[in-house]
Amino acid sequence: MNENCMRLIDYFNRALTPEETAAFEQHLAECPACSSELEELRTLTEGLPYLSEEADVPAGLKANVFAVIDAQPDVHDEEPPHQAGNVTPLPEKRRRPAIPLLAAALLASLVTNIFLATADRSAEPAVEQRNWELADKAELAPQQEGDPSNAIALILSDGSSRDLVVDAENLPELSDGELFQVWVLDAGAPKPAGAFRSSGEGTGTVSHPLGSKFGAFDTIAITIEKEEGLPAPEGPIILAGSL
Amino acid sequence: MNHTDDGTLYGLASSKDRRAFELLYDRYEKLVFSFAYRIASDREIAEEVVQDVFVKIWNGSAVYEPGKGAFSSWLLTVTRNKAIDELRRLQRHDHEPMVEKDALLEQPGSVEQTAAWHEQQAEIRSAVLELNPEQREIIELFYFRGLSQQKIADHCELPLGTVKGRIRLALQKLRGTITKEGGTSYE
Repeated sequence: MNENCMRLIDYFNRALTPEETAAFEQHLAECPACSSELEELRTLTEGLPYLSEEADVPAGLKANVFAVIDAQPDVHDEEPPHQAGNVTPLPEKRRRPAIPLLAAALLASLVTNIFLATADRSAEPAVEQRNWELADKAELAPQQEGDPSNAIALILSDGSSRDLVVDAENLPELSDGELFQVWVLDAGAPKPAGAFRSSGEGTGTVSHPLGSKFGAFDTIAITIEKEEGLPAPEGPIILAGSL
Repeated sequence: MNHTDDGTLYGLASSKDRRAFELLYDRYEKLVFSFAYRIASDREIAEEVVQDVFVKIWNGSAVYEPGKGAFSSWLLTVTRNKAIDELRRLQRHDHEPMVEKDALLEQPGSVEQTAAWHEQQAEIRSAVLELNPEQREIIELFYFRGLSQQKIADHCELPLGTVKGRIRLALQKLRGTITKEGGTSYE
C-alpha cells in the first residue's frame, strides 16, 4: 500500500491531474491489488447507467453529429491510437469506399452469433458469439487509369482462424465464363483466395477462410480469370492493394 | 442488419462503413444521451457528449477492444468519462453538490423506453431499494456525480480513508442483490 493506492477513486472519477494520472497508471501496472479493485469497480458499476431515465433526445442531434462526421477529413486509422486526441488527420487522402451492404450482411453471417430471439433489437446481450475482430484491412485500387472499380479487403480473426472478406464495386463487366479471382501474395507466389462473379450492378463480395497454408502476406489483388483457383494468375489485374 | 451484433457493426464502422455506424448510432443515441443527461443535468452538455463520443468512434480516436467486454459497457464508460470531464471543465463540478438523499431513485421512465433498458432498470432499481440511504447517496456522489474522494468524504462526513471501502461495499451489495434475485445481470 502506498499513496497511489489511495488514488483509485480519484482515478476512476478522473479527478487527478495529468501527472498524477500517469503516475497512477504506472502504479496500476505494478500493483495487482489496485488493478483488481479497478476491474471490480468497472464490473460493479456496469449496470448503473441503466438507472438513467429516458430523456427526450433533441431534434436535430443526429443531423448535427452526422454533419460533423461528414466535415471530418479522412483520418489515418491503420493503427488506431489508444489514447483519445492522438489522431493525425491526413490531408487529401482518398476517401475510402464505404463497404456496401452486401459485405455487411456477409459479415453478419460470418459471425456465428446466436442472437436471442427477442422482439427488441436493443436487447442483445452478447451470447455465445465468436468474437470476430478486424485484424487487418486493405483498400484495393484499380490498376488501370480511369477504371472506377474499387474494393475493400478485410481480414477477420477470431483468435484461432482467419477469414478474408473482399467487397468490390463498380467492377468491369465479365465475358461469359470469366470470373474475378482474389489472390493474396507476399514476396512469394500468389495464392488464390476466393473467386466470385459480380452482380448486375458491378458489385461482388466473397469470403474465404485463410487456413494455415496462407501464412503471412501483405498484398491482395483481384484478376479476371477463366477458371477458379488456378495455381497462378493468367488474366489482367483489376484491383490491388497492400495491408 | 438491424439484428447484427454491436461488435460486428463496430468493426464495420471502424472501416468507415457509414450505414453500420448509423445503425450503431441509432441503437445507442437515446441511452447515451439519457445517461449523459443523468450525469450533467444539462441538455446542452448531454448533446455535446453524444456528439463527442460518436465522432471519436467514427474517426478512430476512441477504440473499442472486443476482448475487454461488451461494446455497450465500453460505450457507456466513454460517455461517463466525457460527461464528467465536461462538468469539471465547466467547473460546475466540485462545487458543493446539491444532492437529494434519494437522487438515485427517480421516477419510473416512460413506456416508450426500450424493453431491454426497462428490464435492466427494473432489476437494478429493485436492488437499489435494498440499499440503505447512505449507500444510495454514496453511489450517487461517486458514480453519477463523479466527485473526488475528498468531496465525497466532506459531503458524507466520512474519514477520507474509509470512502473507497464504503463505495465498494455499497456496490457489492447492489450487485449481490441482483445476482441473488436471479437477474441475468447486465453484462
